[in-house]
Amino acid sequence: MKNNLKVARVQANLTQQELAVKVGITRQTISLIEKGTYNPTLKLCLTICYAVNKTLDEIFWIDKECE
Amino acid sequence: MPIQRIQDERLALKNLQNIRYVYVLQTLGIIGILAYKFVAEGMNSLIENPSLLMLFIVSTILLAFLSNGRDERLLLRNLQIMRIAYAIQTLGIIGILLYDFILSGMNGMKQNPLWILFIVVSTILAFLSMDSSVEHETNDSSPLKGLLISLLVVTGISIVTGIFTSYSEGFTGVDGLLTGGLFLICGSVPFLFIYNLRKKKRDENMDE
Repeated sequence: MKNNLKVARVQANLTQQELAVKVGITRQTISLIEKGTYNPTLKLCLTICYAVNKTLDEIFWIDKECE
Repeated sequence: MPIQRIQDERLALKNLQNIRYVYVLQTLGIIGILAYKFVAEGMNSLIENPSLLMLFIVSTILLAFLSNGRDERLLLRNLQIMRIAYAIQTLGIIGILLYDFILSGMNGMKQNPLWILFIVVSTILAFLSMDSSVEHETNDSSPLKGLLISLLVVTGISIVTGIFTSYSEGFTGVDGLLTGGLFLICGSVPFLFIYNLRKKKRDENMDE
């Protein structure tokens, strides 16, 4: 699933590894979410949003036609 | 390195999927053993010694609770049911092997084909789990350094085992060489496998 995590992470000035440590998951999972290969649970989405100070809308919302 | 609980939901899911693979393999193994007994000794042998047949039925009955459909919650539930079925199956196998061990000793237990099945399935699960373990590692030391240290230790153990075997009563130098060689090969494989996984992970990190 497409998302804006990479942009949000760079804006928060975090590397994948730093974000992974902050969220408590592995760097590979962050990488797969950014690529859109792995669909995280809502709980993980929220934890990521808190870590980069963004809302769910800003990172994970996609318009229906883009889906 | 202390054992850490895996918190990453992706890795937890991957572990559940790994258990599904080994459960299928173990079940196929049990079916194979039952079929062999049936063909070689007839139905009576299965009824006279029903432990394996019962284990197969009990661990497979749980599959009736699996749900159809592409609902992600149900898919996760299916994997959890398979994990329970695998745990029951493995505990049953351990129970049967322990019973054999108590009745007829170590040799009697090893004659049971379930012993080979248990060893093969456990080894495959251990290799599959290594992938998750390596991803979970936070240690950034060189994979090559880890490999060299591990190989050095395995070589040391193999040499010592080989020497002790060749000087044991009833064994020759060739036996010692064979035992040492086998220890070296079997001991090196997991370390080479883990080295490849760590190298792959490091290469991916560099790409990012």
